[in-house]
Amino acid sequence: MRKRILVRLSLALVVIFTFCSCRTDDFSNYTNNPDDQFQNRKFSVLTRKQVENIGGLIEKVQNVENNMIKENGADSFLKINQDSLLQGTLIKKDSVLLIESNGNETYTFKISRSSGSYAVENLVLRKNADGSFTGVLMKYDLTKSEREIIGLGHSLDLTNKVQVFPIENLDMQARIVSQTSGCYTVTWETGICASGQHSYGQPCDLVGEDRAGVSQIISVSNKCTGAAVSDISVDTDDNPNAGGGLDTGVWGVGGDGELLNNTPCSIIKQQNNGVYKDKIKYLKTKTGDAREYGFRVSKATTVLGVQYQELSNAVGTNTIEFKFFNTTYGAIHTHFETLVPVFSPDDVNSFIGLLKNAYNNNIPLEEVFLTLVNPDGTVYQLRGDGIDVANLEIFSDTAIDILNSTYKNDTKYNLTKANQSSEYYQAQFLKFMRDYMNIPGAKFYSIDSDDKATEIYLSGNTRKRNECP
Amino acid sequence: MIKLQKFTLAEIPVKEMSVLNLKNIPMKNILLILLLIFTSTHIYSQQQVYPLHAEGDDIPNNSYFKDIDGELDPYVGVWKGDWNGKTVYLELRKVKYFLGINGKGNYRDMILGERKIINSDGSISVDRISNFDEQVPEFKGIYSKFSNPSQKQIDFTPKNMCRKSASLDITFLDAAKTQMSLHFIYNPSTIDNSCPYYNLVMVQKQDFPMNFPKDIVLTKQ
Repeated sequence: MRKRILVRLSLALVVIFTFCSCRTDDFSNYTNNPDDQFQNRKFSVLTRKQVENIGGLIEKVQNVENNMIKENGADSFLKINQDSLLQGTLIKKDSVLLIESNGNETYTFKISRSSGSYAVENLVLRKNADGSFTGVLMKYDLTKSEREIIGLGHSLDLTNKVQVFPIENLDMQARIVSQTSGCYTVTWETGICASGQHSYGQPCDLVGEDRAGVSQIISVSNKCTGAAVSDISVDTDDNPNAGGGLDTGVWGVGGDGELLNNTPCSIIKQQNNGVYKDKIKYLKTKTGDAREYGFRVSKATTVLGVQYQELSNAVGTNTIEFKFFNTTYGAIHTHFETLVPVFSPDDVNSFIGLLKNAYNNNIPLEEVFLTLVNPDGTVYQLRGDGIDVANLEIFSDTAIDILNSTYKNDTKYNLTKANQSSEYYQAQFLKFMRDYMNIPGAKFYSIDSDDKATEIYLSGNTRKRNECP
Repeated sequence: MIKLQKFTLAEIPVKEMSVLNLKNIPMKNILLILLLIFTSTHIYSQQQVYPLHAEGDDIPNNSYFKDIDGELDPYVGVWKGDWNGKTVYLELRKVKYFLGINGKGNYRDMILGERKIINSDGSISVDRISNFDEQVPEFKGIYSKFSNPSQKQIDFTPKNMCRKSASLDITFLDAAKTQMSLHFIYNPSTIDNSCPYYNLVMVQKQDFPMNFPKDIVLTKQ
């Protein structure tokens, strides 16, 4: 089983390795014969116990966790060398990919991020000859189907999907990559985020005018004969001999032995940490005001991946500004005391708008969500699973006007009936949505004060619960 | 008299099937069959009528929530009031209104309204009463306020206002119900820069030009 997993991973690596160079034009050179890429490489998946037995590795990771992972809050001053790249990250040590090549060892750790970033992120550490570790953060922006493709061991063109973030405090001293193809080993300077070209925390662009500097080939050698075929020797790196590149791959998408588990439940679970949770906590303090508050959630160009922008409010008219950017995929907002403590027709229409916006801007639809924070302490979230957005339409102003009247006036649903339980409003809202604003694939979640999410759904007209694992 | 005999289609001999045509049935029986079909269809499709405040999951689609007790009647009429030198007319009608979209919904007796605003110089700034829109009027109600169920409300959604709406607390001031007060409360909404009033509201922090008072007393005409 493990062998099969590693074979799949190997195939995935065909397209990954090349991107360690921040280059796309080298890609075609190394994908014609995948076997050549891995003939000198050994792949292993290490358990936590095995990781702990590797001298210095676990200590290095713990050092990163203890001193570099940036935190908000009162305890943040206790951490030295806080690194913005690693803000809110959790480094997983239970399943670590080890690739050994020409005496070099590269360890790839899965990373989850409390901000709810949906990208696949890995911390990649290479053990240097002196026992120190060099590290980068690899970020792969993949859709669900792309993750499945890689998870199944198929090749995928990752152009414009990979970002490499050197980590300053992890002693990234070399930018040299060696690549063997048949008898020939090509060594080149990668130009990853060359000095002065990119500010810290910004990724290398892989294409375009702003991409990292053109790679300089240092040498081409024939490893069969040991002779140097050529020695162009344009050495732009301070320490070329410390090179060897970083052997890594997309780690954490299913082909590594993990189940593909990007269900709404798992996404909510990941989301309910860190920044998102802080926003919810903040909004809960605002439900006593007679106006709505909210945040727009967008994909950010920084490694943090998610940007929360508080929505401005015209207080006297109870109006909040909510414009979709082409990176916007989520929103969080409050209802206050005089409003029904569940989503309104306008809210559902906003959710459709978020879905359409994500669809039009190639944002994975499973990322899209709309959260509501109510004065009674309930927190609800709409999110989708397999929604056919192409056939989904935003309701017109006239339709929303009538739906608002139906919501308020139709006693069959009686959503404005006061002093009812939260279960009542959940059930009545789901009936209303089913009958008038049905979005096949949309799911309604209640998230309790312990961050436990439960899907609320209808079976006929009966409200049912399905607790997230 | 027609004698009905239970058959399944497979049991009818081909020969007998060929004579199942109207020519072999007397005219009076044809009329009787048509009457039966019409009556049964009519009974089946008859709209279910419920009191205005009926609730329940078993209420079928296209039911009619009827104001059996006439509780909406006091609202009906033309109401007039003064506001900053302007004269406000509000015509309220009780209408059997279809609440729903795409053919799915229920009928309901509702109060629908349109307004007419006459400026102090006699010019008319708004007149929707002359062309009362019973499909998408500016005022729709009456319903109980969520935070205070004894308080009745009616919604006000002016045209071309970026879907901005308000709920009006509507309260009779006398036993004869010839006077009512309206108290205007904005409903929460979102806005973006596609709205022509975006700068006015979000940048200049001014009010929407709703052209309706925040508080007014109206007298029945």
